[in-house]
Amino acid sequence: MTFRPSPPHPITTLVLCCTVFGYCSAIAEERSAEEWLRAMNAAQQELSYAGTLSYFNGDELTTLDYRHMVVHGEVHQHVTPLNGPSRKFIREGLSVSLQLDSDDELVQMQEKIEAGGISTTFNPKFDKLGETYNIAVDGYGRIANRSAVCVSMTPKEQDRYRIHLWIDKQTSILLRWDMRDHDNRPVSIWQFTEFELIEEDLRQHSFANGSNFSVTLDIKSKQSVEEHEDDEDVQWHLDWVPKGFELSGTSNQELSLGRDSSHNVMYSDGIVAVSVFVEPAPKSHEGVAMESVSGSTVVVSHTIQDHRGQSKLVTVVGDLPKKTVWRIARGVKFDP
Amino acid sequence: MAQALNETLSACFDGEAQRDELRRVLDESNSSEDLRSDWRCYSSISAVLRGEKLSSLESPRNWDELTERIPDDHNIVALQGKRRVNRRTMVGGATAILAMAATLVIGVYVLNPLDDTPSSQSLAVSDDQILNESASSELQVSTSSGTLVNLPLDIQQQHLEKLVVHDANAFVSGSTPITIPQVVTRKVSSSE
Repeated sequence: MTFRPSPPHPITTLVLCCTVFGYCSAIAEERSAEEWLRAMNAAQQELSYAGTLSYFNGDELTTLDYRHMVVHGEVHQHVTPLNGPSRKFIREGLSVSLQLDSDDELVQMQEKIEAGGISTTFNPKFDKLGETYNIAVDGYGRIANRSAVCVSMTPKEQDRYRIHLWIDKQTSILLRWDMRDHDNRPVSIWQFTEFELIEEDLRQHSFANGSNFSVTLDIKSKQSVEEHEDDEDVQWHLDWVPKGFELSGTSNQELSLGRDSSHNVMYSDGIVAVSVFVEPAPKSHEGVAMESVSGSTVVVSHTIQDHRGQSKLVTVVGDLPKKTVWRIARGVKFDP
Repeated sequence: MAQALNETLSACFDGEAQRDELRRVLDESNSSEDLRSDWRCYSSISAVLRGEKLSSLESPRNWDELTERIPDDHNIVALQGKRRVNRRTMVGGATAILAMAATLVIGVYVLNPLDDTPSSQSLAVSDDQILNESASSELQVSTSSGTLVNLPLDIQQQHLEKLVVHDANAFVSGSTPITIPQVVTRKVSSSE
């Protein structure tokens, strides 16, 4: 005799679904801000999704097609701007490439970009963010027609920007990033305007886009961080980085023809990154301190004397307040 | 009054001053030490950009002072697009033709020039020079007073290279795990 369970009564099903949904909603409502951040980080590593997002870099507004897939535990991403220069950013695990049209100005930087190859094992420590940010659930709202919770990250020092993260209540995926300066002026904002989860059997279809680009720039990453202090050619250190920033990558690369190699280190607090480059200074740069702003990113550079009396060019790049970037640049010191 | 004069001086270095405005600045510079100081600063920057007088410029001595002189966002003069670019004029023939990077606003800070007196060279700017020279620069720099000047191609190129390398490395290293790769939107041309 075969036992055939009878289908549940519709009312029973409804009650059960409401109970489960209510329970999950209650869990979501009860999450602390830190738990939302951890859930958001996990969702990035586990879920596949796609959508259209708007990105304001403090200067211009761009619309992007964004596809995020997890394939055999590895994160794959395709990011394509829908206005401006025609480009496509592809990430497959640690392998990153940038597809460009032949007349794109980034093509002339091909050698420099491909010479990169940053070494890293960085894993953001979300548990430590509370040491440098006041983190709190700051309300609820709707982004891309989905219910979202807002987590505010207010820096304890004015050495970095304030951030609001809008996290999808159902999936914990980040739907909106809002970075503002201390006068509440937007530094960078992006948010999904359309969003959908992607089922496993649709992943390949979602990535099956033909390429019409003529140039591909490959950027490779290594698995381990090479402590730059151990490099005989690198005899400098940073006196200061903002609290909570840790070494997240190092690389040596040829950045310009006719110049020796540049040593590059990257620091991150888990949210934003800052790069420090040290290289021989061209004659034309001596005695001049320079600053540039591109969207939300600040670049500063100045020259200092190394322990052998040779002029070195220090350049710092980051999405941080200018005074912070300058202070990091001033903190480069050569070891005797 | 002083503020107005400084703005007029800035306009001179921007190539946007009228002849009578230039004459007024030159007249006032005889009696105003502040104005001469500003003029020396602008002239030094022009010299640097022309690749001249580099040996007479010192590195900043007091970095705290430098930091204080870094303009806040209100003082950085944002790029105004080609309308402004096409009217750009540099003092003394600094008309570097730059090909890239419209979205960069770059500040050059030159502190403590050795020559403490008004530079005869910098004052020897004719109306014709200011009014006739034009530069088609796509990149501008702002001085600590907000003046826009052009930036040599190698400095501009050097900053762009590092921006792009930073963008790519930050994303692939996981240093900015929840931001989109800025490199796809990094605009290095003003052609649009």
